[in-house]
Amino acid sequence: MRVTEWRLMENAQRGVGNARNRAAQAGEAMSSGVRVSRPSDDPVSWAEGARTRARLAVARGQKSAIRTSMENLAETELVFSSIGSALSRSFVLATQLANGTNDADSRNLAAAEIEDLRDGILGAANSRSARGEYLLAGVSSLTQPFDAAGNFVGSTLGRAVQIREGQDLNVTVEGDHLDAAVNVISVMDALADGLRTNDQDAIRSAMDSLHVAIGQTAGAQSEVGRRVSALQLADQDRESVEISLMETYASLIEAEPIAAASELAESQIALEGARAVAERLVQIAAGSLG
Amino acid sequence: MAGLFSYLDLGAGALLATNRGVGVVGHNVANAATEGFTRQRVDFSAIPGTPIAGGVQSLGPTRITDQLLTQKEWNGAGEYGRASDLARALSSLELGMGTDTHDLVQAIASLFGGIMELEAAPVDTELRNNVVDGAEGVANMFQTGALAIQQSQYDADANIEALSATASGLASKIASLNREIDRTNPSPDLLDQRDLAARQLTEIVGGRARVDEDGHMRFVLDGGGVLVDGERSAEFQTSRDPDLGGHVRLELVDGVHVDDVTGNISSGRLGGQLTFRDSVARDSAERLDNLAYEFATRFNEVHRNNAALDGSTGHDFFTEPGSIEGAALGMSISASLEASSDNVAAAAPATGPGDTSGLSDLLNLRDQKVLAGGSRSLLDESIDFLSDLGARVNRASSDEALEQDKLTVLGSLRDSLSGVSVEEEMTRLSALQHAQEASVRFIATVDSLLGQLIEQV
Repeated sequence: MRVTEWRLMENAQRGVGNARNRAAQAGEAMSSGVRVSRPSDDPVSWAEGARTRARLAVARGQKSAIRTSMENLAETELVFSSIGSALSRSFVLATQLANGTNDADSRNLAAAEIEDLRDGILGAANSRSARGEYLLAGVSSLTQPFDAAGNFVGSTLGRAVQIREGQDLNVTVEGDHLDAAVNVISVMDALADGLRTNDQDAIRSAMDSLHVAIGQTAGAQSEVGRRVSALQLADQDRESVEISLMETYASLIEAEPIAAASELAESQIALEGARAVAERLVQIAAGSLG
Repeated sequence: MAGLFSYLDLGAGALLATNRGVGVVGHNVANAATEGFTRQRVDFSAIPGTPIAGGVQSLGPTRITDQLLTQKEWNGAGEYGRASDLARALSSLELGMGTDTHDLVQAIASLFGGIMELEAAPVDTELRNNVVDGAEGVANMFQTGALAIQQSQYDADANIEALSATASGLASKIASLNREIDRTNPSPDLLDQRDLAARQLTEIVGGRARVDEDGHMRFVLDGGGVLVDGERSAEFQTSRDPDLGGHVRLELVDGVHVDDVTGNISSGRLGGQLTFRDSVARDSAERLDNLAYEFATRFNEVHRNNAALDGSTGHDFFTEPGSIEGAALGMSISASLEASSDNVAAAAPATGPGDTSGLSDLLNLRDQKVLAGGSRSLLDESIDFLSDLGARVNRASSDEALEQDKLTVLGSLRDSLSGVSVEEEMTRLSALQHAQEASVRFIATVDSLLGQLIEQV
C-alpha cells in the first residue's frame, strides 16, 4: 500500500494532537480533582451529580434552619425556665406566709417581692430573640405577646420548618401555655393582693393556682425539650444524608486519585511516544526530500 | 541507407519518450507534498511498422485516479465539515452556559436552600436578602444562558457569511477551470486543481460534484440548487432577514434567478452552522424560555398569594413574563423584591410575620412535577436541559471523530492509488534512465553503422 509522506505527517500530527488532549484532560483531572467538569464529559454522571449537588444545597439550607430553630428553642427554654423559677420562689414565699402569723411588714415585703417576680415573669414572657422576634408570640413574632395585664395576645399558630424532605416540624412554643387553665400573671397578682390584705383564703387559693401555673410552665418546657430532641434527631439524619450525598457526588464527579495519576502517567507516555514517532517521520521526510 | 536513417528516427523517438517519462517522474517528486496532487504516469506503446516495429511512443501523462473513490472522499469531506462545525458550535454554547460550579442548576438549588434557611427566621433581614440574592442569581443564569444561545447564533451568522463567500469563490474557480481544461487533452494539473476545489467546496456546502461526458464539472447543492454548471457558476448572497429574527438568510443567485437555500443545505460546514443555528440553538432557546416562563409564573403565582413582612399581598417574585418567547432573556427579580427584601412573601395572608407558610409553598415548587406533562419539576428540567446539551456535545464530538476517521481512511485509500511515493518514483526513474541509456547506445550503434557504410561507399 502506498502511504504518502503527507499522509504520514498528517497522521503523526493527529496522533500528537490526540495524545496532547488526553494528557491535558488527565492533568486537569489530577490538578482539579474533578473528573466531570461539564455536562459533555459524562452527561449521565453530570446529571446525577447536579441532582446530588442540588440536594446538598437544600440540605445545607436545612442545616442552617435546624440550627437557628434550636437556638430559638434554647432561648425559649431559658424563658420558661426563668418563669418556672419565679413561680417556684413565689410558691415558697406563699407557703411561708400562708399561716397568718406574720406581721404586716413581712407580708408587705413578700407582696413587693411577688410583684417584682410578677414583673420579671411578664418581662421574660415578652422577651425577644437575638434576631428581634418575640419568642412566645407564635407567628405574630413582631408583636408583644402579653399585654400589661398579662393576657396572651400573641398567636397560637406556630412556625413550621422543613426538617426532612416532605416533613415539617413546629419549631416554636407559644406563650398561651402561660394563659391556659390559669393565667400566670393573674395568679401572681392574686397572691400579691392576698399577702397585702392578709387574706389567708386568697393566699391558699393563689397557691393552688400557682401549682397549676408551675405545671403549665413545666409542660411548656417539656414541649420545648421534645422539639429540641426532634430537631437534634433531624439534624443527625440530615448529617448522615449530607455525608452520603457528598460521597455520592464525589463518586460521580470527582476523580479517583490513583486512577487519575495512572491515567496521567499513561497519557504522558503516549504523548512521548507520539512525539517520537512524529520526530522520526520528520527526519525520514527530510532525508528523502533532501 | 534509408533504412538506417529510419532507425535513427526510431532511436530518437525512444529517447524523446523516455525523456517525457523522466519529466513526469520529476514533476511527481516535486509535487509529492502538494495538497490534492494526483500522481501522473507516462505509458509507452509500440508504433506498428516495418521491418520490426515503428518505434516507441509515450502516452499521456495521465492521472492515476479513481473517480468513485474521489467522489466518496468529497462526500466524506461534506459530512466531516458538518460534524466539525456542529461540534465546535455546540461545545462553545456549552461553555457559555456556565461552569461546573456556577450554572443554572446550582443557582436554582441555592435559591431553594436560601428559602429553607429563611423558614427558621422569616423576619431576619440578612436571610431575606439572601433569598433576593438567590432569586437574582437564578434570573442572571437564565439571562446568561439566553445570551449564550443568542451569541452562538450571531457567531453562526458570521460563519455563514464568511463560508458562503469562500464557497462562491470556489464555485467561480471550478467554472473557470471548466473553461480552461481542454476537453480532448486535459491538463492533469488543472484537473487536480479542479478536484481540490471541488473537495474544498464539498467540505463547505456538502452537495455533489460530478464530471459529465463533456468533461465539465457540475456542482449541485442539497435540495437541487445548481452551483456550477459548465463554465457558469452561481454565487451565494447573504442578507439579514427580519423573518428569521434578524439572522442571515442564504440565497443562491444565478443571474436574475434568486433561490432561498437557507433551509436546504444540510451538509458541509454551512449545513453544520445552519443546523446549529436554526435547529439546535433554536430548540435550546425555546426550552430555556419555556423553563424561565414556568419558573417565573409559578413562583409569582405562589408569591402573590402570600404576605410580605408588612402583611401586604400581591407581590411578584420575578418580573411577570409577557410571553414564553424571550422569557429567559427578560428574566429579572420583581420591582417589589428590588425595592426591599421585606417584600418576600414568607407568610400566609392574615397570619403574622413569623409565619412561614408562604416559604413552604415556594419550597413545594422544588418537587412539584409541573413540566413535560407532569413528569418533571423545575429543578429536573434545568438538569435535563443542561445534560441534554452535554449529551449533544458529546455525540457531536464523537460524530466529528468518526467522520474524521472515515475521511482519513478514504484519504489513505486515495493516497494508496494516487499519492506519490518518492521511493517508487526513484525506481521508475532508474528504469527510465536505463531505457535512455539503451536508446543512446542504439543511436550510437546506428550512427556507427552509418559511419562505416559511408566510409565503404
